[in-house]
Amino acid sequence: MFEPQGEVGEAPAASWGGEPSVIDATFPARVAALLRSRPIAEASASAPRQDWPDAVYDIATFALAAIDMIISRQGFEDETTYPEVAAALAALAHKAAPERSAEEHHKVACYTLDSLLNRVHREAPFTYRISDYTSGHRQRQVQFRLLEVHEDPARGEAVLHATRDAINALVGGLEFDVEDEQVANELMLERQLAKGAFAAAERAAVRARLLSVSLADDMGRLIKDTRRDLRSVQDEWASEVPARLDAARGHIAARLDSEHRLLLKVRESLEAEDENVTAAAARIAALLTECTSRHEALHRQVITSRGVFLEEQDRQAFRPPTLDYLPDLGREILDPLLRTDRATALTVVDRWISDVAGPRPPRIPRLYRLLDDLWSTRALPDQARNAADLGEDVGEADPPAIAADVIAAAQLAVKRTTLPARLSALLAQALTGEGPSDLGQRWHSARLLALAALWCYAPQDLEPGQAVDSDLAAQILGPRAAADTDGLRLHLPGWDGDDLIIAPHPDALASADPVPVTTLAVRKRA
Amino acid sequence: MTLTQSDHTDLGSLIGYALQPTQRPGRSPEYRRLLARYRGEPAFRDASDAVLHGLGARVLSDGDFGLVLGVEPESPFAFHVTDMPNTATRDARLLAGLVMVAIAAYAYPSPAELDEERVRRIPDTEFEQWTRALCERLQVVDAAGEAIPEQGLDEAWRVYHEMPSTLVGDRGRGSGRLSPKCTLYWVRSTLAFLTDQGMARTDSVEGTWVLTEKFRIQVKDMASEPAYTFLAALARGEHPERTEVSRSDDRAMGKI
Repeated sequence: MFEPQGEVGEAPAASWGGEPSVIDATFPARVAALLRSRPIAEASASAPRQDWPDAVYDIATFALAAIDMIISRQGFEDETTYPEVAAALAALAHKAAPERSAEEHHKVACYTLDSLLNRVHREAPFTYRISDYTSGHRQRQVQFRLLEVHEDPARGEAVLHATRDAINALVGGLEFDVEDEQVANELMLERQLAKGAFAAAERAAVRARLLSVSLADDMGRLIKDTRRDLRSVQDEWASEVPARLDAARGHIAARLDSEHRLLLKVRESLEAEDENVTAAAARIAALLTECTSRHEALHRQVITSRGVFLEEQDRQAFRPPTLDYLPDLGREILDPLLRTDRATALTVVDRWISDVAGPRPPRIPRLYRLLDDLWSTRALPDQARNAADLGEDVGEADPPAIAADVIAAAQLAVKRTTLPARLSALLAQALTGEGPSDLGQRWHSARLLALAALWCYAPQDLEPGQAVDSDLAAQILGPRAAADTDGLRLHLPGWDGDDLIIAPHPDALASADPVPVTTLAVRKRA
Repeated sequence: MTLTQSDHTDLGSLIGYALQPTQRPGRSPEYRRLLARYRGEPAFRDASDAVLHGLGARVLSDGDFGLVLGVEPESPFAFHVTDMPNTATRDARLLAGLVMVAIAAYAYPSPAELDEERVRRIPDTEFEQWTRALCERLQVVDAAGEAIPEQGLDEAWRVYHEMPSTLVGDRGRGSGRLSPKCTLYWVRSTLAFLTDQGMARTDSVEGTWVLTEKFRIQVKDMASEPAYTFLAALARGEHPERTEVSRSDDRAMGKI
C-alpha cells in the first residue's frame, strides 16, 4: 500500500531539508489510492452504532467478500444481484454468530452492501478531500464509487458491478499499470508453483483474474461510449486507442500462451501425492481456465472494436447533434416549474408526460368485443350500494344504477305517446298506460321520463371518456330530442313544475303545441 | 442493396417490438436478431429510420435494452396525457406531471448524472418528503401571512403542498387504501404508471422503485430539452406559444 520512503522514517528532520516525498508528483495519487479503502473502514467504524452487539461481525471482511463475489461473475451472463450477495453475506454472518437471529444477519448483510453503494447518500460517489503539496499547497477532491447498480439487458434485473476503483483497491490499493502487474503475477505464480507454494500461487491466480476483469471493463466502456456518442471518445480513438489495442492484442497473445503453459504445470501437480496440493492445483486450474475465457472474451472485443469505430463513424456522421447542453433537472426545470402558475405548468408537464411516456400503439376497438358488450344483459343494480360511496374513488366506472326493464318501460311510454308531447302526457302514459303491472316500477319509469325531459331541457356535455350509452335521455326520448317550456304548470297529482314540451328534434319544437294531461284516469290507446 | 419483401417484414416487426413498452431483446431472440440487423446493416437501418420518421418517431437508443423511440407530439403513436390513469381533472394531471418531473430531478441530481448509465432508486416516502421540502422552500415565511401577488396564489407547487403526505380513506370503497387526496398516492400511482411503461420496476425492498435505462434515455434525449427551452424562454420574459415547444422536424432527422 503505502511504501515508506526510507529517509522519511529514518531521519525526518534531515530528510525534510532535502527532498520531502510529499512534493513528489505521484504523491497525491498514492494518497488518493489509499482513500479507496476508506468507505470500508468507515463502515466498520460505524458498525458498533448499529443495533447489533459490538465486535461480533467483521464488516471489512464482509465488504471484501461482497466485492469478490461480484467480480467473480462480472461481465458474464449471470451477474450477481443485490439479494444474492446479501444472502451470501447473511450466510457468513450466520457462521460468525449462529445464535443471533436470521433477521439480524440479513440486516448486517444489507448494511455492508448499502455502505459499499453509499446508499446513505443516495448512491452519490464517495468524496474526500486531500492536500496536494506538489506546488505549494492546494486541496484536491477525490471522487469514486466502489459498487454500482446496472440494468442487465437480458434479464431485466438490477445487477451489481464493482468499479475499477474497487477492483484496483482490492488488488493492491495502488495505481499501477495493469499489464505490468499481470506479467509480475504470472512470473510469481510460475515461481510459486515451481516451489510448490500453492497457497501463495492461488492468491496470485485470484489477482490475475481480477486484472483480466479490469482490462475487459476498460475495453467494454470504450466500445459502449463509441456506440453512444462517437464524439465523446473521438480524441481517445485518435491518440491512445490504437496503441492500447495493439498492446491489448500483444497482451492477450502472451497471456493466453503463458496461462496455457501454467495450466499444464498446474495439471502436473494434480497428480501429486499431497491431497492439499492436488486440491489447490484443481482450484487454480479452474481459476486459470476462467482467466483464459475472460481473455478470449476480451480478444473478441478487441477484434471487433475497430469495426465498431468505423461503423459508428459512418452512422453518426449524419446524426443530428444531440443536445450539447444537458440541463440541470432540479435547478433549471423542476424549480422554475414549481414557481410558474398552474396553467403554464400544466402545459409543460403535459408535454413532459407525453415525451417521457414514449410511443403508445393506437388502440383499435375489437369488433367481437363490441358485439359481446351489446349482447350482454345488464346486471341489476346493487341495492345495498352505499350512497356515500359515490364519487369516492376516481377511475372506476359506476355500474348502471337503473334497471334495464325500467328503461324499457319508459321507452315504451314514449313510443305510445308519440312526440311531440307534453311531459304530463308522457307521465300519464307511463303511470297508467300499457306496461308492467308493478306500480313501483311504473313510478320509476315516470321519474326517469321526467329526468330525461329535464336533461333534454338543459343538457350537460358528456365528460371525455364517458361512454355514450350513459346518455340515457337519448336512449329514451330519441337521439335528437329537445324540450322547452311555455310556462304551463304540471297539473298531475304528485308532480310539480313546468309541463315541458318534448319534441323529437329541435326544429319541431317551434310548431308543437301538444295538449296537457291533468288526470291519471286509465286511458285507452289513441 | 435493395431491400426485399422479407426485409420489409423484418423492419415492420422491429418497429412493432419497439412500440411495445415491455418488450426486451434479452427475452426474445427474434427481437435480438432484428436489433442486430438495425445496428449492423446500414441499408436496413436507413429504411427503418425513414419509416419511423414518417410515423413521427425517431430512435433515441439502439443499445442492449432495445430500440428506444422518441415520439413527436404530432405522431399517431404519441402518448396523450388523457390516457394516463386517474388524471381526469387538471389538478390531478398537474400533480402527476410534477411528480414525474420531480422523479427525474431526484434521480439525476446533476447533468453529469443524467449522462451516466446506472440504475437509480426511488424510495417512495423519502422521495415524497424531498419534493415536499422543495415546495416548502418556495413558501415565503412571513409572520403577517403571505402577500398575495397580482395573479393570485396559484403557483404550481401549491397543488402539491396543499395536500397531506398520506391520507388513508376511512369510508366506502377507498377505506383502508391511500386516498387520491394525498401526495403519496400520486407518487405511487406515477411510479406504477412508469412501471407499466417499462421505465421502472419495483425493487426488492418494499416501497422502493428502480428506474430503468429507458426512463433515463427518454428524460435525457426527449423530455428535458423542450421543457428547458420553454421554461428558459419564460424566464426571459417571453411567452412562447404552445407550438414553439415542439421540436422542428428537420432537427429530428438531419439525414433524410
